[in-house]
Amino acid sequence: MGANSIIVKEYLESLKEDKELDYLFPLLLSMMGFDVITTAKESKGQSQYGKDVVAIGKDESGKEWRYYFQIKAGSAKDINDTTFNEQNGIRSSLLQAKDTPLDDSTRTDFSSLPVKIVLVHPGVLKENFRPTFEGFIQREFKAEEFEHWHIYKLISLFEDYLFNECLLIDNESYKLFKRLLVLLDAPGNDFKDIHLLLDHLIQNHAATSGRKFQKLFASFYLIGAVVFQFSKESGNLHSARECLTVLILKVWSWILSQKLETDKIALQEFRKLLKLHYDTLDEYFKRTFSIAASENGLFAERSAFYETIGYPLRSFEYLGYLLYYFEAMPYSFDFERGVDESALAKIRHEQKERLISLISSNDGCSRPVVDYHSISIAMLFLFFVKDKIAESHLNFIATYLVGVFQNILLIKSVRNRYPMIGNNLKILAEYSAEGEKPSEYVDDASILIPTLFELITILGWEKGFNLFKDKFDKSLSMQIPHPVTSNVDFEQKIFEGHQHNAYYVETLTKGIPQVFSEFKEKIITQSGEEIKFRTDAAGFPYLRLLAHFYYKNELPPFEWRKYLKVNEA
Amino acid sequence: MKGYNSVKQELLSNTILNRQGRALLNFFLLSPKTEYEEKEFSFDFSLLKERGELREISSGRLRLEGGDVFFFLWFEELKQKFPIELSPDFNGVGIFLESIGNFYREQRIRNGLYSLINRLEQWLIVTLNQDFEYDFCDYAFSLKKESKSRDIYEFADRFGHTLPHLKISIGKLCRILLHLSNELKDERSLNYPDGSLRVGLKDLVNSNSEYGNELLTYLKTLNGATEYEALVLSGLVEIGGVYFLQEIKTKYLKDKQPILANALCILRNITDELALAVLDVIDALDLNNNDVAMYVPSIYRSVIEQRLIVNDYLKVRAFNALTSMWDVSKEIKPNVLHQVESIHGFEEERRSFIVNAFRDSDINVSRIGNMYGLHEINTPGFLFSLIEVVAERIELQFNAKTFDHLIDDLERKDDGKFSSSLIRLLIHDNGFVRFAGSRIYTHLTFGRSKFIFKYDILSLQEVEQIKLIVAVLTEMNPPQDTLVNILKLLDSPYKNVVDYLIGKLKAMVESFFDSVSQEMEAGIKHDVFKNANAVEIVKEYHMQFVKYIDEKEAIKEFNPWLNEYTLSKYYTELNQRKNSRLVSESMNKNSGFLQFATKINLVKGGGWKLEGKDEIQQLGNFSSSTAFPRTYFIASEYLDRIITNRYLVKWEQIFQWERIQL
Repeated sequence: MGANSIIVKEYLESLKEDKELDYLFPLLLSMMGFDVITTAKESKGQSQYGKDVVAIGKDESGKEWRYYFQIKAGSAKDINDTTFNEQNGIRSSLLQAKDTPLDDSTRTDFSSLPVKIVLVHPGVLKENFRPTFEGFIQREFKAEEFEHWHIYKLISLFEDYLFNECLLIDNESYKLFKRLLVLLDAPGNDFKDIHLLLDHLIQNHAATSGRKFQKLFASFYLIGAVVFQFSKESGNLHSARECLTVLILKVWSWILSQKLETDKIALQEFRKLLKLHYDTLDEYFKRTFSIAASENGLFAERSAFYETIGYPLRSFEYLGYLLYYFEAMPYSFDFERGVDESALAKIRHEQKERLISLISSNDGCSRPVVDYHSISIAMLFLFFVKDKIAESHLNFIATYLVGVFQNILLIKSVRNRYPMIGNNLKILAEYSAEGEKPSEYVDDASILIPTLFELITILGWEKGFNLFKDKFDKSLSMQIPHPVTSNVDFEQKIFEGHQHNAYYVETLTKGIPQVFSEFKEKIITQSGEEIKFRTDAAGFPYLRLLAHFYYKNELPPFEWRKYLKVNEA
Repeated sequence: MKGYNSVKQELLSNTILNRQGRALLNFFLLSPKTEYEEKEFSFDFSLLKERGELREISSGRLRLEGGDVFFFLWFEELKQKFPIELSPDFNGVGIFLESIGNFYREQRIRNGLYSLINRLEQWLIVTLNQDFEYDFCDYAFSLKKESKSRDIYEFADRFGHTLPHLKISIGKLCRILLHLSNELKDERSLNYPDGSLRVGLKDLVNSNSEYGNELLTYLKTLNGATEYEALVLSGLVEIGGVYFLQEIKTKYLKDKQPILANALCILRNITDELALAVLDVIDALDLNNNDVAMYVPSIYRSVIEQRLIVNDYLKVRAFNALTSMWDVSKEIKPNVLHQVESIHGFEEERRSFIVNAFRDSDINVSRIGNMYGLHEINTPGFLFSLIEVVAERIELQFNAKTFDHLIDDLERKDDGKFSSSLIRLLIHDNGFVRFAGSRIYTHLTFGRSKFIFKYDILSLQEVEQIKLIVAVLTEMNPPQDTLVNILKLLDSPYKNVVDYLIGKLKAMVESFFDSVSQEMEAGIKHDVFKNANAVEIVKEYHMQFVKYIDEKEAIKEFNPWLNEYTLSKYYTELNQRKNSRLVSESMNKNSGFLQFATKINLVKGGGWKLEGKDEIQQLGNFSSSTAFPRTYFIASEYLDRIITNRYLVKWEQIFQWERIQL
């Protein structure tokens, strides 16, 4: 068995549930030349009648068949007396697949094609059960109407059609992918390898159409699915969350750069990645949210003094991802269509309640220690105000902003520091751990604080504004970042990474205006021209939020200023 | 004291004394020390004892004081080893004595021998003066403070001690004195009442009033000799009494009040009659002149403390006059306070005066730490009144260490009053006083054996019981230091109190885990309280909390040692380095653990967990540590502020925070 086979075997053996094979199996069939009609995920909630995946394909002799794939994994991955005879076991599934007719209108010749049933399982046929199983197959199926894809067959197919063909296409890809997996859960992993691997694939194997394009996206999907699976296997979805976020941001960046954002096939493939990323976050939040939303749930009990910065950093990161997850949720069925308006309102209400519960339980969510925490705060604000807002939610967001203001002032008063400008957290750690300000620690300017004043102004809350307008040092440079639009593709830039040159900064030379109405007027008159984002037009507005959040690129003020204009109107 | 030649003649004529002296010297040379058991001596030493050269310090124990005989014989012996010719050359004496000092230092001679060598030097000074008429003038002028040598200090000391035995012309004596006073402006020998030059000069005047009068006349003509003039004047008053004082007061009151006040300040052996005259003279002094007033508190103290005075009226008059000086000037206040602190008697009046004195912002509170005279009048009532006054004045700057000598004193002999007073402080309406109470409570409990209230806290009113819980069960006080004093309230007749206390105990579980229930179980066992149900409630809560923590820690996504490894490791290493540095600095300064513990952050259990390992990392050599509550790590800045704000607001506000409804 070659090195590639070992990766494939490890992957297949790690599958614990039926649905886990769903991610890659349809992709395998596509790469084998099958025309996939339905998948298990698509028929979720409906009786599958023994047909987890339905596809049309040719056998080795070139004859075309309707293939009904019956997938058994997890505890049923091996064929033995129990898995065969139990209720909804292999026997009854195979008989159902055989006996229940299936129509599909997507192919006119569908009903006329002969049926071949394939039992797929990443396990083995137990030798003591072989006679019973073989007897059953011979009795119920003609030889050419049944195939048995066990672990060794699957390894061979996955290796030949997926891994070797797409992902492990050259030595560099192999090396980077291998290192990515080996280091996936290593403490201190900065996930540099996923960046390198994706950059390598895009630079050397990208194409905008055809077989090469299909293989490129198969590679992307394969990387995502394997990382997701291996992360699950290690019991820590942190690495999957990070890697898959990088994956979709880099791929969308490439799509934008190739002007493929209106290309149907590119969008179809990208949606699969979005879905995989969403599933990762879904699993991540299902595992973590109930504890996270308990009292100080995001506080790490045993990391002692590090929690001075660790708790707020972790809290804002969790909050940012949760907001993206919530934003994307109504579209998560296929990322093509959202839910209807009444369902959306219900979902949003529940999500807001969950956010309130998380933030109320975690002081870390309202204690910014770096200036770029303005991004999560603005995302939260937008999440609450962009739709019709309930009185209780309005009160919450106003109270939250006051809490953030108070905490900034509290830390300034006790530790003598404002949130740090910049992304180098080691400098923050030095200041916090040693109590002495390193020369590299910059906090004489802030984007966060004027952002908070703007948000409180959007709420029309003059009293709240007046509470804090005089509380900050006069020497603090209040800055508002605006996107550069001439000669720079701002949208493209924010998907590429952390940006310095995609913004210009407006400094409030006299600080925050003392009169609320003056500040409000300024926001109205200088709200800036909105950019028409191609990402939004493609149906993924929430993706931009993820890019801002992940790469720590501030949200432009027009994102929230428009709500003041609406209010004014 | 006699010179060399006189002693030599005496020993030649008194063979018994000679024999006893030589026997003593021989014994000393064999066993060089200054204290002996009487039974060690197999020879007769009666004459030496009579002359004071040997003194009985306790039954069967003798101290070698030295005297003409011993020093003569010792000198004769020493000069065999360290050749010296007695001649008008004091430098030679210096080298000789230094050689002796080195010799005995090498032999690791015990303490006490150096004072013997000092007295040998004094004897040599007298010898040189008497046998060679050496006046030390040239030698004294050769000594300079800036030379950094000890010679000038030692000479001033020896010269002062021997002054009454010396024969020196007034002119030369004054030159020597002025030179020394110029060089040694800030030195003890000159400026302290028991300084050798001052004592010596007064003894000289006391022993020869004629010489004293001449000296006074001469000193008046000199510039910069006022200190000596006062000393001589004082000596003459001691001899001449009221008559002499009346004689000179008019002139001195007219244009030399500071010298007169200074002279009265150093008077010794004051009788009733002289005291009355002195008090009358003080009444006539201009106390608005600080140069005069600075001496007066000490004069009053002399009158109050003087044993020869039998008339209490004089002492009362002096005490009242002393305390009334408080309003004379800002500069005089510290001295008045010092004298009131240091005297004996007048206990109630002194307590009241001192408490009021510390209301005055002119008086630095840190003085209390050095006011050892307060021990005599220290009572719970006095101490806690003083603490209240200080707390209201310096607010959150209160430091229990300032009071530790007074607190420790009372805590040891607490019959309930100390505990009761401390409780009143802890639940006081004034936040700054509460802060002082909490500092004292922490002082009593931190790093020492258990402090237990000797007061029935169930006798407190409902609201007082709640306040006491708030005051004692603070975030930074671990259960081992606090619960023993509070658990009794679990038997309180007030439901609010019991419910609130159980709530607090549950909150403590989150920081201190099973130590809370362990303390409670110990409390039940030792009959501190009876409410066993409360123990079960807290134990149940502990189990739930541990379960919650286990569930939380099973979520690897939240483990910073996995997902934030680089940053958390970097942070922890920096933190450790900072703490090690503080430990090291603290140890270099020879400061105690308590001092350094206020600066160093240590985690409960004696260290902190690293990289998901189970063992606790120990910090340096210290295995004990300050327990930090969970709330500190959750929001250190917030806790910091809450701890402070608790003392800046009224109880009503605290009750709101604590969600207490009464």
